[in-house]
Amino acid sequence: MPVGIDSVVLLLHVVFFCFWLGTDIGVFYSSKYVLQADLGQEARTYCLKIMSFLDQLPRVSSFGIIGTGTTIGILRGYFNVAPIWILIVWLICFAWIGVVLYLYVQEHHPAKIAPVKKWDFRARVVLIIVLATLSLTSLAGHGVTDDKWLAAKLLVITGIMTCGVMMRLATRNFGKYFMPMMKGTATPEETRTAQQMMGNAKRWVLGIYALLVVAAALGLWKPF
Amino acid sequence: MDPVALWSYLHILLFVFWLGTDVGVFTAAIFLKNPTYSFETRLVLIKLLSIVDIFPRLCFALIFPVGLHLTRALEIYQISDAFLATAWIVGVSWCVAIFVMMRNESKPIGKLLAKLQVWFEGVLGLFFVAVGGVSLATGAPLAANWYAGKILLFGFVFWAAIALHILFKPFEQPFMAIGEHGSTPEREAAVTAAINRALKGVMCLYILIAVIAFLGTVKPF
Repeated sequence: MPVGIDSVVLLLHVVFFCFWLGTDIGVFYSSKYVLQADLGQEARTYCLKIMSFLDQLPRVSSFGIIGTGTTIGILRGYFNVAPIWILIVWLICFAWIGVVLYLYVQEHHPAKIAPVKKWDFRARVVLIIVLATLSLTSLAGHGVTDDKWLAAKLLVITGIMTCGVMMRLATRNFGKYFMPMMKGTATPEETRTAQQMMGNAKRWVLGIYALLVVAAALGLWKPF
Repeated sequence: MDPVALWSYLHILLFVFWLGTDVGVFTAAIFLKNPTYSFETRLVLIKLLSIVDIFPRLCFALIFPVGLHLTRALEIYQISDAFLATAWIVGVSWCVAIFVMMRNESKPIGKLLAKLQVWFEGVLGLFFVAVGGVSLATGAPLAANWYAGKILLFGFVFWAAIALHILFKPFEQPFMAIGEHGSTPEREAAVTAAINRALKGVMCLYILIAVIAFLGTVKPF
């Protein structure tokens, strides 16, 4: 049996799903220890390091999944667009992966990464608008796909991206309360605020997990 | 509901929570080697590692019964209800044993179950290697080569799990000695060596799982 491009890209799509959802479980559990006030400063620092390192896999995989998903969609004829869009989408994905890795490598230089972070945030909002438009117009019968399950999947992916943006908003001033915790100088009020912020962020993270599972189900089942 | 889609979906989710979460275990193990960390920090890392490690272990226990359902749904082979029921009983019992081992790690029941698990993995591994190997050589009982290859490699996964258990064993004694009597270059070297050996085993496991996923998705032969 010859190895087709379709099955290889499909396998990559599943692998990216694996390193997004699966690896994020490690991030989720590390975050628990990071904010455990009764743990030593050093233990929390290294849990933070693990959390931050692991978090890069889901961040990179989220763009890998968009690239492979678009490739499969165009190759199989689900999307009514020219094949050149495969190249365009992959270029955007690689550029975004570069930004993600740059933000990680330079994370200890907040002033340096501040403008990149701002543009990354804005670009995510634009992506949400684009995805929402593509899915809603497709659901209305005038979009890039005639398959309703795929239009619904795009809407679910829009929801995932929105959860990601909401999570960033929920932790906007997190460092202000978290840094004193890491230095051991936090007041009980600061500790409580940091924990509350992380609690709020976790709701959005759980939202991402739930929607990812739904997106995978839509892709496999193609129920309508 | 289409049974192929349902069982494919569950099979993929188990793969996701097996390999994906194992990356967290792998990373925590690498951090654990660092001798500059305090013993408390390293204990927290072990706790984190042990909690996240539950996911791959449970997925390992459940992937075979789910895979059997998928095999039946795809009509690759006739799978009897009795065989399915046996696979589920074994899988669910194994999950229960995993939780009992986790909660009773240092108690006699936990140690006994850990020993039994090694034997269990050895026997099941032998079964899968034999079925897969014989099928690849003779074309029976599994005619599809990609499927026989998957079963053969799945057997190797059991053996890799045993190898990991054995390779990680020498970690315990020097690590506890560090906690009780402090760090020495010899104890740190023993801890690092045990973790390095185990990490090599983990890499083999990842490669096996990746190849199994490749065979199942691409079906190259």
